[in-house]
Amino acid sequence: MPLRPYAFFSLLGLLTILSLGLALSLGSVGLTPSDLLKAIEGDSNTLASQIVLDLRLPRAVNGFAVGGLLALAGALMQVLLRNPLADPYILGVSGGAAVFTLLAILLGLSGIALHLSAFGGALLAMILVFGLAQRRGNWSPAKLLLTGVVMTSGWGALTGFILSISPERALHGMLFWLMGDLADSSRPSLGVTVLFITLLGSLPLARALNILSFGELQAASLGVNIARLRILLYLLASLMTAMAVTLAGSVGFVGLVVPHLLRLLGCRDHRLLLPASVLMGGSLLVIADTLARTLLAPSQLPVGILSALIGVPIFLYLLQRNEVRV
Amino acid sequence: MSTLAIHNLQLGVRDRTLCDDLSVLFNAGEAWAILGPNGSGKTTLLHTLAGLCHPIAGKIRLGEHDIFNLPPRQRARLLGLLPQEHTDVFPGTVAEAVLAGRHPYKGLWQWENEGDYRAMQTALRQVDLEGLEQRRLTSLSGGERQRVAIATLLVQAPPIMLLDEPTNHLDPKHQLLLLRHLQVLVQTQGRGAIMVLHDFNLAARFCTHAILLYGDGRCLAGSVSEVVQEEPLSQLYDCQIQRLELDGRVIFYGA
Repeated sequence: MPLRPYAFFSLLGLLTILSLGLALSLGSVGLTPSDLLKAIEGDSNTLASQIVLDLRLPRAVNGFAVGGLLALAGALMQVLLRNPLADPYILGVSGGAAVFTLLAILLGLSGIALHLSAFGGALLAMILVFGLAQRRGNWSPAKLLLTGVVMTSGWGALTGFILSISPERALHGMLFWLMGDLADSSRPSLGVTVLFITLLGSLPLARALNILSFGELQAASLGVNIARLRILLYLLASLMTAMAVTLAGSVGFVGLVVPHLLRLLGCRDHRLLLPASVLMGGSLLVIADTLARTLLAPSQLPVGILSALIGVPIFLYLLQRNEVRV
Repeated sequence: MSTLAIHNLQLGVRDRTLCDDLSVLFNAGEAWAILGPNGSGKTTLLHTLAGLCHPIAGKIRLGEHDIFNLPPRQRARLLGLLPQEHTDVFPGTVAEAVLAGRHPYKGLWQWENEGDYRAMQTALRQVDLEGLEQRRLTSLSGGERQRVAIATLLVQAPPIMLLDEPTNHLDPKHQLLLLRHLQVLVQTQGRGAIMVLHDFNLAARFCTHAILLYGDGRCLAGSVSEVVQEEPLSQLYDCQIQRLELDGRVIFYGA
């Protein structure tokens, strides 16, 4: 059955509103929908209003931006590498960020300095992989993928090394960062802005991505400028991943699975898949983070754990159902 | 109608010369076959003609342009390629694969319109896949997938069609159906076709001209009646090819 775009995006919009509504009303102080509306519109001095506007809203917005960035980056990376197993981290961007962030934690840095080291590490990893893969001018997706995977293992070893020499008091923070954590959501507008710009940047490429998934030769003969498209995809996907990693650490799963979830639902056209990935990835991470905050309250779980726990069963269910139909 | 012309073309891979100094003018209304043994550079020649890889030396002109100076989109409206193999990373439906052929005609934000859907349906009817629009590519047989790819080229509708083993995976009925259809396009619409073939009888029957690639740098281009003959074919394939006349039809066979 062909996808009906209007109905599909209405549902995704509903999911987005629902997830944000849940994130704003659930927590140590539960709010009914009417409380929530009052808190948003009304006097900013009430406790409810402070909780919603100062604590929950920035975190929900940040979570949405990170989820959206990761899902979008995953969708682009899967076409770039022509590999359905590709996720935003497969080229080592989060590995580089992890090593630099853990070093910064080890050195006792915090706040913006942590963000800057994460972003710096992500950029360094990105430049290294790109530089190595395109030397001698020959960079097939397979070479890029292998370079990235090997670099990721290297970063993993360095991460393990830093963890094993770190004092115990630093370990908790490091582990949370490695599993993905939205506790520090002090700059929510940054992620949303980058998400908006990169989505606008990727939408004009969407039809070329459809063509590219029929193979590079077919795409080239249909007038797609492959070399330019590859570089744009690499830059966009890596920058999105670097931003997501900077804001929330390595949140696994969203980037790999959200594009596939949508494809299994029949959304294969990238002109729909890219914006749909943003909405679904964002909502999934907001719901996961709400659960991470509330399930074992007052203690909090890393959001990466919850996003995987929610996503795995949904994905497996759709995969099974789809196989029967094919 | 623009013509494709190659001047003093030299092709090679690594230290091997595949074709040395080939000059051909491909006119509208002509159907060319590229014949040669495995690994003789047929596909390389076709991709070079398509402007997708650079020759060692020589010029390729499409109309009045050097093919490598044409913007890819403009080139794709003048010249289309049927690849030898099809790789579907995220296999969608037959309709999606065929509509891909309209890509070079669509602006950045344009979506396919009624006309594109009609073109898709016409093309599917021409390759005998009518009504399969919503079938998944994964559920198709090799021959059906090949016919979908041909339909993609048909909706791209370029004046010059390059086809890499178009009869691959096709049963005899669909081989003939395809080659007859190409013949009609070439003869009545003044298009040009250049196709890699392994079957020299099909080449002799459906093409007007042929290029023989020997794989060692030698190449021979001419009308089918000149070059698709016992002597050159026997040399080309390094085995005895004989000629048989039956009911006024000439058939070549390996002895």
